Amino acid sequence: MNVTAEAVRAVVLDELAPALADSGRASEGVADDLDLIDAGLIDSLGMLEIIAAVEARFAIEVDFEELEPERLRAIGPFSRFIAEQA
Amino acid sequence: MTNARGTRPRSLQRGFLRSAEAFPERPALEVAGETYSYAGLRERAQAIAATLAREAAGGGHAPALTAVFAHRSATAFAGLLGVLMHGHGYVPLNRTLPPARTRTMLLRSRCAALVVDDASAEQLPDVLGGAGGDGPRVIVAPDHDDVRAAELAERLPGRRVVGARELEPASSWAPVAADPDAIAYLLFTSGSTGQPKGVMVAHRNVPNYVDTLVERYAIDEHDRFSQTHDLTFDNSVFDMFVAWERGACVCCPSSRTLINPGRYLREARLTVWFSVPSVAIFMRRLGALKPGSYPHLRWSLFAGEPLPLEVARAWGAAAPGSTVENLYGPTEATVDCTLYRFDASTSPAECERGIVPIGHPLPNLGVVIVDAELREVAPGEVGELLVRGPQVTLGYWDDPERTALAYVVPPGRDEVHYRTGDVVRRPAPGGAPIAYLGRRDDQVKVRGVRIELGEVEAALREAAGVDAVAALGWPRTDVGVDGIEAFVAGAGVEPAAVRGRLRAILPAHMVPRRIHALDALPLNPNGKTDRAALAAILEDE
Repeated sequence: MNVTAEAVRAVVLDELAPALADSGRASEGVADDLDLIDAGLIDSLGMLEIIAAVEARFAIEVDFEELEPERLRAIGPFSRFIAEQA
Repeated sequence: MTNARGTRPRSLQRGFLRSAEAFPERPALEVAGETYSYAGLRERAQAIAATLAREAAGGGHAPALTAVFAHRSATAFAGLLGVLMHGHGYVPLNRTLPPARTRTMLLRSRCAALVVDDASAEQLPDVLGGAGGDGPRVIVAPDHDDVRAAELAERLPGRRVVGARELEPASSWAPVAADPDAIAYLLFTSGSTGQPKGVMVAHRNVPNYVDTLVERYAIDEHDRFSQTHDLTFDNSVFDMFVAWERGACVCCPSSRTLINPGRYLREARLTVWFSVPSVAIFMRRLGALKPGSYPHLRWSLFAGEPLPLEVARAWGAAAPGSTVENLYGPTEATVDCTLYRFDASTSPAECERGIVPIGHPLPNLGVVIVDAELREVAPGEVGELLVRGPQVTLGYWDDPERTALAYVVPPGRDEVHYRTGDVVRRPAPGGAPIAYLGRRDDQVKVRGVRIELGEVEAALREAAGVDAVAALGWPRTDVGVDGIEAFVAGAGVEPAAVRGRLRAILPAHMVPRRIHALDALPLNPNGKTDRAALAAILEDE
């Protein structure tokens, strides 16, 4: 399967949809560099669930050795990293 | 295993107060970029305790409980100590939970006062509702200056808001005689009938636990403890009260820092680590468990959910100077009641299905493994784990029925045992450890947090407006489940809308990741929901 950063972004936004609705944000309005933790959308272990959802959706296993954990926090860098790995 | 002082009752806060005498200038707490000495933290706690005493003087205060609505702030820790030093038990509340749920806990616990920190106060009007509502009449807000306290008061009509300038001076605090049988803290856990259960932990339940661990781990004033658990989770009792018993420092990270636990471990120079295994699994996924990464750690402790052998092994290699231990216990038996020392060479042979054993009971506690009639099973057989001894708590707040079901005297015995609901294998004689195998009911754990699927289903019925619903722990993993998925029957049900409504009722970790709408739920021959058929639907996706 061809995994694009856009497709990963869509899965992440889907996972975040309820939290976005709670915080009154539209999913289109999520900037590439929005810090998901500072914005109160997830906590660190919530990130595990998003990783699990992305891996399940694309049937991939991602190796995070090369990723600075801080880059997990924003949707743009995260999506691009997954797409590069897939 | 022994602990020299045995189980002499004393108050939960006494260890902190003694350390504040012995080590007034040593750091007791690091949080939000600030360091608080023992003397400094005690002073803040005393001011809160004295203020609570002054505000209670005029009115009635029947239940000796006070809420602390605060999260990863100095006021969270000073607030909880202040409540204890006022002679009350604390009820921790957390702004990461939906306000409606926090409100339920507040009203159920009948707290007359609440201590709030800066960031949580924003949510208070949502939690407490409009004028004349129920709930605490006194709001102590130590982080609020006059202007902000007045603003908060305006948004909370009918309640008294005490800001920083109206706090009593610390010097006016008068120590309160400790009653070992009084509630030290009330923690709410998921309840199968749809309402969270409040577990009442008395002061006298805690010393056996704290004394055992400070001696086992030879804790002293140079130790630096992790603080990964929210105060609503009883593992946090270890983080604070085991550290403070011997003058160690509690190093509380921000939620932001916790996205990189490895950096936190290094930069905070932690010597004692305690978390749910999920954090270690996360770190392993991120490649943060490289051999030799954390040479300064002395103890690596895990509890709250099954610890996979591979994770224990990887952690042990990453922190080669530390000893890995797996602790186990329900809130009802005071944090942890068994423990197991992991050894990379000998433990693999003792693991069952790749899961590290839960080991042996702490000193002065007894365990018995029983069948459905509460009769002990034979060695090697599987049964439910029952716990007895000084750590067995008082029961559930305002709920004698459920207390009677869970706190039982088994046939032929004369002591109350707590029924954990956990299924374990009774070891063969000769000192083998107890192996954890799973649950005997519908409780699951997601990231170490207990979830009764019955509670999720009750919320689903409310949110979807239909009766036929089912919640499943899914996906299944080697160690349990990774989340929750749900099914609802009804053509007109909109899963997204239902999920949105659930977010307002349930904590995030209890909201099903996906909700599947079916025309009808499959039934088994007994007319009950066929959960295996539902699992097969998820499996086939």
